[in-house]
Formats: sequence, C-alpha cells, structure tokens
Amino acid sequence: MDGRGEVSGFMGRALSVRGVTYDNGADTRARTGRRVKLRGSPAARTMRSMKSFFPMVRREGVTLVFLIAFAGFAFIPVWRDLEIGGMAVFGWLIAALMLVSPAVTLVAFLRRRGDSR
Amino acid sequence: MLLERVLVGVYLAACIGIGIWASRKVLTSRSEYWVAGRRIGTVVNSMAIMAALASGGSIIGVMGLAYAQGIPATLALFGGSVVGFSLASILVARPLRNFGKFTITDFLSFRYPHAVVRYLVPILIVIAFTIYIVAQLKAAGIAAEALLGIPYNTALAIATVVFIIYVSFGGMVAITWTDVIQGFLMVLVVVGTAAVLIWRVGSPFEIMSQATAVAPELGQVAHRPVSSYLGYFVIWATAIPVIPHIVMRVFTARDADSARMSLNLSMLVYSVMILAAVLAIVPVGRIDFPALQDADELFLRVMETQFSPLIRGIAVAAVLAAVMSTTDALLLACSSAIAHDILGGAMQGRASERTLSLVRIVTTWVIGIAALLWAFSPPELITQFYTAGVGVLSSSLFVPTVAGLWWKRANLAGGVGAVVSGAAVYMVVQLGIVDIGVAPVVVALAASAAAMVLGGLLGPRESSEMVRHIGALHG
Repeated sequence: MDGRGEVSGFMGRALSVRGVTYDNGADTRARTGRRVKLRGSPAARTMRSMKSFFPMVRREGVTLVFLIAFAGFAFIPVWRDLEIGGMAVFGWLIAALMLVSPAVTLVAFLRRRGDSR
Repeated sequence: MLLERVLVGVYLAACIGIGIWASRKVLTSRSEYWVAGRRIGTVVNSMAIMAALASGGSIIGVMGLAYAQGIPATLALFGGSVVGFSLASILVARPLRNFGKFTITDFLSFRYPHAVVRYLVPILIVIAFTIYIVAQLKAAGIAAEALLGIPYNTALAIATVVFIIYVSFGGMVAITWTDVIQGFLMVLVVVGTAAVLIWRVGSPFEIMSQATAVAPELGQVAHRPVSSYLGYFVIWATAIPVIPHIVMRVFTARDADSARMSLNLSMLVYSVMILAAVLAIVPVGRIDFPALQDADELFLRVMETQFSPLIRGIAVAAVLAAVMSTTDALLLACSSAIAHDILGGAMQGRASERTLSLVRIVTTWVIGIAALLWAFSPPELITQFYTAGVGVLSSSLFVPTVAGLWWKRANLAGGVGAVVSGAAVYMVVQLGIVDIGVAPVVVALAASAAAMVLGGLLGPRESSEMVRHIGALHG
C-alpha cells in the first residue's frame, strides 16, 4: 500500500487516529515518524480485519459502495407505492440505475487506467 | 413469407460458414477452442459479451415478462444483470484474466483443491445451463412459428443443428464472430423498433402514460412481495461475475484491461437495448394486444402488425440471433464443464490432442441434442424459468469466487462449504421444501457466506504460497 489511492479490501479507507495514519501492515514509521501499537484497541481490530483482504483501488471501492447503496435505496418499500408518469418510482430508479451503473464503472475504470499510465 | 425465410436461411448459412472457417484454426488447440487464443480485441469482445448475455430472454422474454408481471419487476431482473457487470468488472475481471486458464472451475479448483469442487461445480453448470438452453430454444421455436410459419418442432431442430455445428467445430472463435454479427443485429432491431414507435407516438413518456392509462398494472409493483423482484435482482447481480459463459469471455480478452473495458462497454449497450424494449415496445404491445395468452409472443405480434415483411424477416433473424448467440456460448460453457473440467482433467497427459478434440465435439452434440429433446415440450415464461436455473450458479459460485479472490482467510474448508451450502440451500428453498418467505437466492447466498466465514475463521489458514499467488493476480 503506497498511500496514494490503494486501500484495503472492501473497507476502502486507511485509518487516521489523532493525527497518526495506520495502514494495512505497511511501515507506518516511514510516513508518520512514529510507530504505534494497535493491539487490543478497536482500531487494532479494524486494522486486523482489513489486513485480511487484498487491496482495492479506492475509486473502485467507492464505486462499488455507491452502486450497492443506490440499489438499496431503490428497493426501499416506499417507492413501490409512489407513481410518476404511470410507473412506480421503484421502476424509474432501477431504470436510472441501469444507466448510472455502467457510466460510473466506466469512468472509474478509465480514470484508474489513466492514473496507471 | 418467402422473403423472411430467405433472409433467415442466409443468416443460418452464414453461421455455418463461420463455423467451418474457424474449425481450421481451433480443432488442434485447446487454447484456440476454449478461449480463441486469448486474442480477442476490446470492441469485438464487448459486442460478443453483450450478445452472449442478451438472449432470447432479452428480446422475447423481457417483453413477455414485462407484459405479464409489469415493467418495474422486469427492470429489477435486468437491472440486476447490469449491476452484475459492474461487480464483474471491479471484483473479478482483472484477477481472473490474470489467472489465465479457461473456466471458472479451473479457478475454483485451484483455489479450493478438492474433488467436491472439481466435480460438483461442472455438474451444477451443466444442470443450470441445460435449463437455460431449453428456454432459449423455446424462444427460437415460437419466433419461427409465429413469423415464418414453420412448425415449432421443425424450427427448433433446424436452429439447434445449426448452432451445434458451428459450436462443435468452430469453438470460441466461431462463437465470437457469430456473436458479433448477432449482437449488431439485435441492437439494430430492438433499438430501431423502439425508435420508430417513439417517433410515431411522440415520446417514451407519452407511450408509457397511454399504456398505463389502459393497463395501470403495467407500471405497478406494489401488489408483488418485495422478495420476488429482489430475488430477480440479486440472482443476476451475483450471477454475472461468475456465470461461466461470461467468465470464458474474460479469458478470451488480450489482457486484463481489455477484459474490463469489454465488460463496461457491453453493459452500456445492453442497458440501452433493454430499456428500449421495456419502455417503448412493451407499452405499445400492451395497448394493441391486451389479452395475449402467451406473453412471450408480444414482440412478434408487434412486429407483425407494425412493420413490413422485410423488417419482419430481419426481426426473426434478430430473435434467432439472440437465441443462438446465447445458446452457443452456453453450449460451449456446458461442453467445457464436461470435456475440459471433468474429462479433460482425468485424461490429461494420457490422450492426444486429436482425442481431446473428438471428446469436445461429441460432448457438444450430446448436450445439444438432450436440450433439443427437452425443448419439444417447454415450460412457460422462459425468463423466470432460466433465472431459477441461474440462481443455482450464483448461490453456489459467487461467494467462493469473490472471497477466493479478495479474502486472504478464504480456505479449502470455507470454499467447499460455500459451494455446497449455497447450492443445497437454494434448491431446498426454490423447490418449496422449506418456505421462509424470503427470496431463495438471498437465503442461499447468506448460507454460502456463513459457510465461507466459518470455514475461514475456524479452519486451517491458507498457505502463504497460495496467498502470494492470489495477490499476484491483482497486479
């Protein structure tokens, strides 16, 4: 993990506690100037669970979370009863998701490829 | 009907021609046969992926489902596919392409080296895909019967023999190039038809409001339990990243970036096509044909009444294209499950390339003929039918695949448990043996994930060599 966009697993973020950055097993001393023991604390537990995943690019993690949140929002029961233009709002939201999903994934991919070049 | 029959005849002859042309390249090499030598470019692959997914279900079935069960519930199913493409692009495309083998079973049996995975996964694939193929064949049969006047069984037999010929002899190369032609034809017909209908009425919103004024249930979903359409969505969202005929396309790409780009482009085209079908063609059909007995006939009835014989001929070819582009990919994936995953492993090193080639061809013919015999008496509402089949695959393969690629603690115990529990729970709930009021796929995925977590946390840790190997796939 180089601290420039690579994040751990599905959590998608590095931890910052009281000004000290903890990351996924990398040498924190090199970046923060001091080594911090995490054993036993909530931060330590989070770090250990993040360490169990292979790293994912931050932008893609955010895209993933966004799409899952959008889908979850669309499935909220209240949208079943409201109608716009003769169709349940749920239907319009899923139609929008069908356009938004490929668009944001494509943008995330192109930006990642641009960064790597 | 002569013009329509000539157009379809030319199209079928072209498919066979491509198969024969491709056979010169592919019959002597496993890599050429299963993954087209990993040389397929981004644009070609994206159209082939779109065509492989956009089946008879996506033309005949999507409109039948929307007609019978309303547009919102139908969009939930196909929206799941689109989100599934995003999951595939982000979660599996790069590492699987870097893995560089032929099938999803190759990856799973490498990650979880156990006989249960090596044999159960291909068996599940064969069961689910035979169901899927039967549903596609029904779409071909009713299209040919309705618009060409050819008896259902005769049309089935002709279409099946044609695609078995070009799949068995031409492998992935033939499938790719026929799929590209079929994909363009589908997009042209569906989006073109929708554009003409919108132009005649004024706007898609006008079409929708006219249709829902006549048939309010078309736009409603409140009368259905959430679990039913949530189940549709989840099945397809979790199936796309692991479904074998899409995964094999990932393996055909030149590199990981090309694989991801292909997935992204294909889902854009797929979305536009499905939205055009559901938001324009279905409402018009609902107004013109308020009481169809078989909802799957909707698109063909619309074509029959709204367009000239030439356009109808192209439409039949497009429906056949949709059916064949998916069925050929399914057939190859099914064939790979037996010839490569099961028999190939057992015969490795003891059989010549010529013998393996013969096994591939025979396997393809056996599966194709078996599906044909079943399709002579097909089920109703094809989209629901094959979605249930696909549910078995997403329930059993999604968790072990994604966890195997991303979770370092994923291990043999978790992997085997996830595959077995996902498949078993899905079947038990889907068949109604246990009714808990939740979509079967949701329960099955939860069971699969629970088995993976328990196995990963309680079982022995994976070797550091395996973890390093998987880590390298993300590079």
